[in-house]
Amino acid sequence: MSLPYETVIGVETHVELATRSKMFCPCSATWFGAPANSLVCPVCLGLPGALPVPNRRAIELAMTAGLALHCEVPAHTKFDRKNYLYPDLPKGYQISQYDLPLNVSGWLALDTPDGPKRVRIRRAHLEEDTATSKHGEGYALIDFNRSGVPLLEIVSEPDLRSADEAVAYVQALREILVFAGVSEMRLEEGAGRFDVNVSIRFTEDGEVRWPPQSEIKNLNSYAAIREAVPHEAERLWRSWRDGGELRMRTGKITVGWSPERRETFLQRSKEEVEDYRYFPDPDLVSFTPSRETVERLRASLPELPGDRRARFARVYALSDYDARVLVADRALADYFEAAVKASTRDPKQIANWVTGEVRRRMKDAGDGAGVPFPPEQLAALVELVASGEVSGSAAKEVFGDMWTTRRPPSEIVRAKGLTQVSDEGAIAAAVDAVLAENAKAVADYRAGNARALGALVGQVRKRTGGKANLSVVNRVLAERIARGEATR
Amino acid sequence: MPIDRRTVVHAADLARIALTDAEVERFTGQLSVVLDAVARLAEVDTSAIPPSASTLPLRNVERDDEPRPGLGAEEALANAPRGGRDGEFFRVQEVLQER
Amino acid sequence: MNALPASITEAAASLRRRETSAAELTEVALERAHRDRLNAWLLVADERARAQAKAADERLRRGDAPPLCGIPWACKDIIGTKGVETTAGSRILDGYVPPYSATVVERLDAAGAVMVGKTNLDEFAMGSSNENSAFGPVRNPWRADRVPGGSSGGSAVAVAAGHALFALGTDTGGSIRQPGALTGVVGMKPTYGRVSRYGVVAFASSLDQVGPFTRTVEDCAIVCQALFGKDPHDATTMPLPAEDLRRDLDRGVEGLRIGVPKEFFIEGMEPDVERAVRDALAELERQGAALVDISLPSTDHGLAVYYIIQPAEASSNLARYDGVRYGLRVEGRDLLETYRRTRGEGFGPEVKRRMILGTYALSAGYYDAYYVKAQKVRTLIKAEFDRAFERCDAIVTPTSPTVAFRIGQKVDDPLAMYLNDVFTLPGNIAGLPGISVPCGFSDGLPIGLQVMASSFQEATLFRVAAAYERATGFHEKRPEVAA
Repeated sequence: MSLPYETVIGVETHVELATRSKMFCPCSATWFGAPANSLVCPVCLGLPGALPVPNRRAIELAMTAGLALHCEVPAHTKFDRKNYLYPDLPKGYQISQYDLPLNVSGWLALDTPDGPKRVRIRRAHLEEDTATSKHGEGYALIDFNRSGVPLLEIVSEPDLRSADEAVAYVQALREILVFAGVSEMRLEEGAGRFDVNVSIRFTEDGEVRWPPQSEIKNLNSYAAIREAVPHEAERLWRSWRDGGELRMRTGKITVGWSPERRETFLQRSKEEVEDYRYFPDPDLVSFTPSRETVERLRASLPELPGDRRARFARVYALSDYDARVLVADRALADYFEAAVKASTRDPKQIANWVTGEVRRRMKDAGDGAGVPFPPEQLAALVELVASGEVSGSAAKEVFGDMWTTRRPPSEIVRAKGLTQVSDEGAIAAAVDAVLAENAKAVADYRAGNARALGALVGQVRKRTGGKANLSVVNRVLAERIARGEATR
Repeated sequence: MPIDRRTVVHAADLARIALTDAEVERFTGQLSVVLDAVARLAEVDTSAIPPSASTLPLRNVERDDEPRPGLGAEEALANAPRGGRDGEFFRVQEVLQER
Repeated sequence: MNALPASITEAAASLRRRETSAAELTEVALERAHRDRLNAWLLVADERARAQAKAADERLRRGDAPPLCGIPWACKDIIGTKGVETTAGSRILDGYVPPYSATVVERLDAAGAVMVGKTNLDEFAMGSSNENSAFGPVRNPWRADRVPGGSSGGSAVAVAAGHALFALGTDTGGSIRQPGALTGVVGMKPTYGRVSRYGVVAFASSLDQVGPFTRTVEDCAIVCQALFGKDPHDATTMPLPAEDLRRDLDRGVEGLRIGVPKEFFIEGMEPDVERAVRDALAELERQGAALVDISLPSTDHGLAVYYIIQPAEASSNLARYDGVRYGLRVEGRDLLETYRRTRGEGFGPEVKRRMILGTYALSAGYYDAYYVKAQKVRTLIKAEFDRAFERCDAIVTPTSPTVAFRIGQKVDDPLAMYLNDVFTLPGNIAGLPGISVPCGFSDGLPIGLQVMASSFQEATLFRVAAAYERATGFHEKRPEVAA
């Protein structure tokens, strides 16, 4: 279905930085789940006389994010006050960055169904988070634990054209930030929030029209973006078509998204636009990022997901799918590479283990669990299979044992007697015995029932205690049956 | 630049300060005098002059990312105004509709 | 003993000779503070003071006591004190007891000084007469129908009237130097960045600086020695190597170049004030200083710059008084109304005036014309001082164009009131240190002489002020009211 308009989208992403302490005070930044108002001090409570002192790590993480997003580092940067009164803002102003943000003019590469695309990043600046509120009937309860947690606000240009593209953008952004160690961005903990600017563009009476946008505030999940964006775009379209408010409007409006009612609602119209009275915060001095700092941060920047995927596909000859799955988890990708380094076999075989069994076990083990044995042992297991010493199915058993006992695979194979029988003489004897006992199955197979062969293979394996090398069994069986046919 | 009642009322609204009519009247007059005196700044040629936010020859002041305990909830809430505390929370009336 | 010694140095010597004790000095100070009829005190902290005196006496007995140990002092009530109510002279902080002390208080606590209590001030330090306090005006000990100057009026009076041996004030546009001049004591504003502002209720952050009131220049240097230095809690304090601020006190002014800016001898200055300052300049010249005519043309715009930057910063600094976490809350029908009523009723008229002025100067459409313009002229003013200090070592001017005026005389004329600070506020705009020392009387009311020096050159400032002080007896005169 094609829409009569184009949706134009820009996203402002707020992410909490992975610091231990807050942006301007030494209170713990690990606020999620802490007892109310237990992580506060004069600074983040906005007590009279309290003063901010910036967190070096927060500034460096923000610069790291900028470098990962190909931003320019300005010669000077500073903090400004954004003035507005709200109960979750203890000082009556938020310390933010106005005209000299820490990062400007970057981009992010995005794969879209229409091919690769660069989403331009206008700026990424540092600020402090607000307190959290719980709402009751006619009142609100305020907890200042989150107050002052460092936030990076990343503002994209209006380069996105659909809700799916917007979601792909924030997913790609999240991947980069997590990879670079800038933020854990746990959306379920509110550590990433999105303000999405939506406008519609269309042609009417031969003229391109692009009426003012709506800013959908505070979306906190991909699902919300996916729903809210088309909803608001359609609402704007109808408003235009039916001669509604959009035809009168000259500036942007701010709307909220109600996930229950699945609709947007007006928060602030253009007439009520807040006058934030930004000015340089006189409690803080300006910053001149040193060349050494920038170069040190650049050097410590890990290979970013897009680059790594491309390299995996190229160097290890992996499928796009495998590369994607591996790179989606930095630890997994690192494990894979270490195992490849320890092995002489085809990296694809390592990849199969990592994307399959390893990932499944890690998922079962839950959050934060790593692989219990070193990558060299996975390489050793792959070697056992590739050399024919153990069968594929036995290898799975060995793998399970490695996971729980952490013993080396060779030891497990020995202890459990899982070594595969590849000796042709032994297998041939078993095959002959099976053929003699299963004349009917042989006849069926010859009559064209391919499944009968499977039954025969099973019989041979049974006879050899499950240790027969299947490829040898298959070959010998095929030879014997063919020869039988010839001699008949 | 003269200041009128509307400007005074608007600034008071932005600053969230309730003024009586008499205050609006008085402040309009008084601030007009002050702003007249301030208006002389326009005469100064500052076309090639950068603004100074501070006189301090200091840059890049930062601290290490070391968490330290702050106040306990009890101490934090001890100064809450009457009716301004609810358990371990600060309590306020319904939050404004805007924002 | 029924009066405090004449200075910190005298008291410190007596304490070390065991002629008196911290406990005794503290009792005198407490008694004086309780008997105060000038409304200088908002709170007398008997218990805290006695506990500190006891600890000080123990320390003095052990013999490792720093110079301020056991010395009673008065704290302007805009400086936060842990466990002791802090009002900033405003109703809006009703009942607020800080859970932490300002760094300056911690430093004086560590030095063994004894805090007698908290002194009256113009609300949030906004004023030049101390008539803007929510707790009533402070009276001048030289004549009770006169103002003591402001905003640190209570602190100035506490020292002038002999209730304490020193006091702390804050100076944003002259709030230490001007009341120092009007009450006949030494008042000093350090270079911006010398003293921590942490825990001091903020007025205008780029201008505020804490400093002392004392009886003598040497006392001033002693207190500064305890206050100065980098504070990790204040990003705007300067990391500088330690120095002995008293090192040049006795050097005299021979060979020093004293700058005399023509723009500071203006119409509207009282003739007695001008005469006293000219006499002081002659005295410095007699001692071997060279007087240099200098020009600071942009200081003419100082008042305009000050009345943009200062209210603008204040309008933001005072936004936190919203009745949510501490202080006054006046409930309305909804939260917005509660904000408006809390702030409408909690702030006094001068504070509201400046909130409106500052909000206006920062608001959309006016920011460039006012705030940015003022910041640019600030650059010019600073540059002119820098150039002037290439030609001279110190600048000497009157502290205030007038002596203490009558209570009520200027309350309805903000501009006239603001003009009190016309000689002091350029120092705040440029971040320079300045000291006011007594330099004569006009009809029995004290006159102040201001000495300014280049940034972080307080030792030079003390050198000039001490040389002048040694040659005159003005600082030894005490008001009769206080006796």
